[in-house]
Amino acid sequence: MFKILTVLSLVVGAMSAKCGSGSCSSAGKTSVRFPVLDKLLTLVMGLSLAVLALTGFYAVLLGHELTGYLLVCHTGTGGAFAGSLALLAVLRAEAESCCCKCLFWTLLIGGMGVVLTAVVMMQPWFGTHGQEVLVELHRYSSLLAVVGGLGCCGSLLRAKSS
Amino acid sequence: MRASIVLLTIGAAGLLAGPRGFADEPWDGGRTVPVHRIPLNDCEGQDIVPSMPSAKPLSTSKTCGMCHSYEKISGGWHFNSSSGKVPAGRSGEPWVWVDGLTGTQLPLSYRGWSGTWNPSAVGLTSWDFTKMFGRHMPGGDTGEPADVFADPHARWTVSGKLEINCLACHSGSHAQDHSEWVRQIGRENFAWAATAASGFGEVGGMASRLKPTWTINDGPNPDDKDYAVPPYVKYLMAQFDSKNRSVFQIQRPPDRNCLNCHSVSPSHAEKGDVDQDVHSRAGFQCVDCHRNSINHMIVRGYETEVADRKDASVGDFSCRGCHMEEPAKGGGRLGAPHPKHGGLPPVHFEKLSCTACHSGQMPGAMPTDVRASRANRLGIHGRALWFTDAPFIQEPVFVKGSDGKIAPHRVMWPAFWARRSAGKVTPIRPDELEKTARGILDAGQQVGSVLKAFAQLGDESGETVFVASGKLLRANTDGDVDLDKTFALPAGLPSGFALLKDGKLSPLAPNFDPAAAQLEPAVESRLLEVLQAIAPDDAAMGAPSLARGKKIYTRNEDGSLSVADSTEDHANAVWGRMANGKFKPVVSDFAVRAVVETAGTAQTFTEEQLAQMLQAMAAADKSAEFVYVGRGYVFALGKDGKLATSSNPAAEPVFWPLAHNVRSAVASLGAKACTECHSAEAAMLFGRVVAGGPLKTKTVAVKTMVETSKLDGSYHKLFGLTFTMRPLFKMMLWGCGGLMAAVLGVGVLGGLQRFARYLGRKE
Repeated sequence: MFKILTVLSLVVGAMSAKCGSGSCSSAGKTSVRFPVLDKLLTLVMGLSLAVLALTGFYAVLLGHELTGYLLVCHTGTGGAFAGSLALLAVLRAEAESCCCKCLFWTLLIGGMGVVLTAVVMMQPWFGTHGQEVLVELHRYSSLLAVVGGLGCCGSLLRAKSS
Repeated sequence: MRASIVLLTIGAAGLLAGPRGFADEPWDGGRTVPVHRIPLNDCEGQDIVPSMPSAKPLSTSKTCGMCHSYEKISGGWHFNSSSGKVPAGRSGEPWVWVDGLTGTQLPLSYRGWSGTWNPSAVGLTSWDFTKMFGRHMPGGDTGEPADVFADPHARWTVSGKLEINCLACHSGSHAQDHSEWVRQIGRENFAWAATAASGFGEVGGMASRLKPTWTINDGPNPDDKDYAVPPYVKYLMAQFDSKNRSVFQIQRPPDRNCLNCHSVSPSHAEKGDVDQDVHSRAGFQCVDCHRNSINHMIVRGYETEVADRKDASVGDFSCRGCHMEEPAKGGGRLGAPHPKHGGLPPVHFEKLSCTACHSGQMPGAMPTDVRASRANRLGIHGRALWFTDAPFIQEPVFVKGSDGKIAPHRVMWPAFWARRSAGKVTPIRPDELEKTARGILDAGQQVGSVLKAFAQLGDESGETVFVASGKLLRANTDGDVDLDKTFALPAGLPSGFALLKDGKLSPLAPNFDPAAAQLEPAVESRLLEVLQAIAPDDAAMGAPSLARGKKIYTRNEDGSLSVADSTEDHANAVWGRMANGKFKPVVSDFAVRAVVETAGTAQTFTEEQLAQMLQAMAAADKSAEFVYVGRGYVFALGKDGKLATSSNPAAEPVFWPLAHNVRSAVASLGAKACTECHSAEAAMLFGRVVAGGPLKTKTVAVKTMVETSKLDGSYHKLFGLTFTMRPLFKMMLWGCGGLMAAVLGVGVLGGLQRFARYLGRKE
């Protein structure tokens, strides 16, 4: 089920990237307050999301466990993703067009789910079953984040090229 | 008529058929253990009349076997190792052939477990095996060979078979005496051992001293009432009723019976400091989980046992079976609490066994030295000390098991002498080497025997001790020497024997001037007294002598003292023997060096002794290459005559998983912090396993636990390092998550506000 949803999300994300507005970033609208910082954060967020998706979905899609160096990479990149997305959220809260806003909010909701489930898993609050539920939530949130992220980044690329 | 014949035939068949084993019939539901007031039967199935002087010992196959199928029981886990018919299952503790003189600790098992040698492959017959290990066997197995004449050296017809001792496990009597069982095994009184251990009677005599032609039906030996006394039993009449029946205090095996053979405790620990297993503390008995039916295939309790035995019912009594509530397996039994495992990522359950965190000693920088009942001969009480420090066993060592999970194991490094051919080593029986080893490997005993001889002088002048290289050595009860670490020796004390009294050392013989023309009478008298103590039984070994200055004082056979000139100048007194005009010290310099080097350590011999032993073996048999396997390497003599070491699979350690003692949840590994395992110094991953063994050498194999667990050490160091940043990382994630939630909250509120405005405009 999750594998199918993963593939679907990637397809939807790609489509949204293609169809989305070209004004989704600092390259588009002028209302972004710190365009350089915004560009940098978008880049970090996009790259980290790509690494997270690769390391996370590689394990899931190929039936491997997310352990070893992949896990270290995934966890480390997760920090960069969380930081960049949180700052982007502050910077762009009021700066997006409607379509892009939708994608961004999708990314933000998914990202928040990913970050919170990750950090809650590190707390001794939930037992084995709770941990398993959190892992599932983390995975499904990540799908949302990927759809939003692909859309936003795709729009950015389109805007640049135009 | 025909019917009568049929009935008679059936009746006769019923009479001729052996005992029915009616206790094996389906359980009636009664939950009490029936009172076993029964007559004792001997090996021929005859009721024993305890008042008769010629009464034979109890036979369990003919007594217990009257109601319980002895045949079925014989197939049980405790009795089937040598049959070769039962799947070996997960590795267990091997039997260890320990020989102090030759420094041998050889792991043995009939089950073919990894790292063990099959006893028959190293020349041990069923008889040898039973004699050696019957002390901690519950009888049966090798103790009941099908053919008692198969081994010409065996003495089964004298000793009788070592039947399964049902009472060793099932007796609830406090008179059940494991030590008595061990004594009877040592005396080869196999058929009498169960009777003696049960307390039904008192067993005397020694089968080991009898001629091989003696049998149990021959009765007492009228010609010898002191030495070669055949085994006999005097039953304690108070235990029998008028019908010669006795009450067997049968119950489900109490823990104390299991622990006779299954105790493991840290070496040198105080009894009061060793905690019980949490299950025992909660009131469980061993057999609550380690169950069996009449077939005595006891549940071992490991996770993959279900697959190994192809029996789903045994799965209920693994850790998971009771604690994880898996209904398909009927788990969640015995009121076992379901573990919370708060904050523990589920991947741990795929990678680790339950025991990894919950069982055995807590891992340290190095594993803990432990002693185990069967290997170290524990729990045998009497005048002699039975236990041995060898073999050197340690726990916990984390090893990846056959199920792919990392589990704590006990480890022992094999040590033995062997022949090597084409890289393959074949162990040599230690008893074959005894003659060669005498004079080379028995340095401690050489000093000990002289100290024992000097002890004849009496305690008035003090205890004789040996002083060398700043160490004070005292004789021990095993005929060896122990280092007295508490005694502070004055500096510059010469090596040799001395008297210790009231904390002060004095010479064994009074000081005198060797250059003087004549000795004072008191000095001469004392010298003769001391020399008499070290006079050998065999005069051919030489006359007892003392070398001092340029003189040698010898005690002649007639008790006189003769003085001869010495070519050497001995500044200090050297006790020795004169043979063929040559003076030889009672303890050679070679032995002194060996004793000084090994005293106070766990090791018993040095590289110098090893080289000399290899030379002696090579001189005795030039057809083979001899090696010593120990401390994780194979030691051999190189072409230059020096020791050369190499690796070999035979030198690799033998591991077996441990499960007890189970620690409480709060005392489990990782309960305090993730960094107990995930740090660059975590004992569980980076603890060092140093090869133990009797050889004192600097060439010692060392393994880290990431090696034994087949893990990537570099990765785990890196992963461990990430945990130093973990608190900061969590704070950052909380901050980011909070910020995103706040933005989302503001966004939602803004959206609501717009929606409200939209509604307002619409109105």
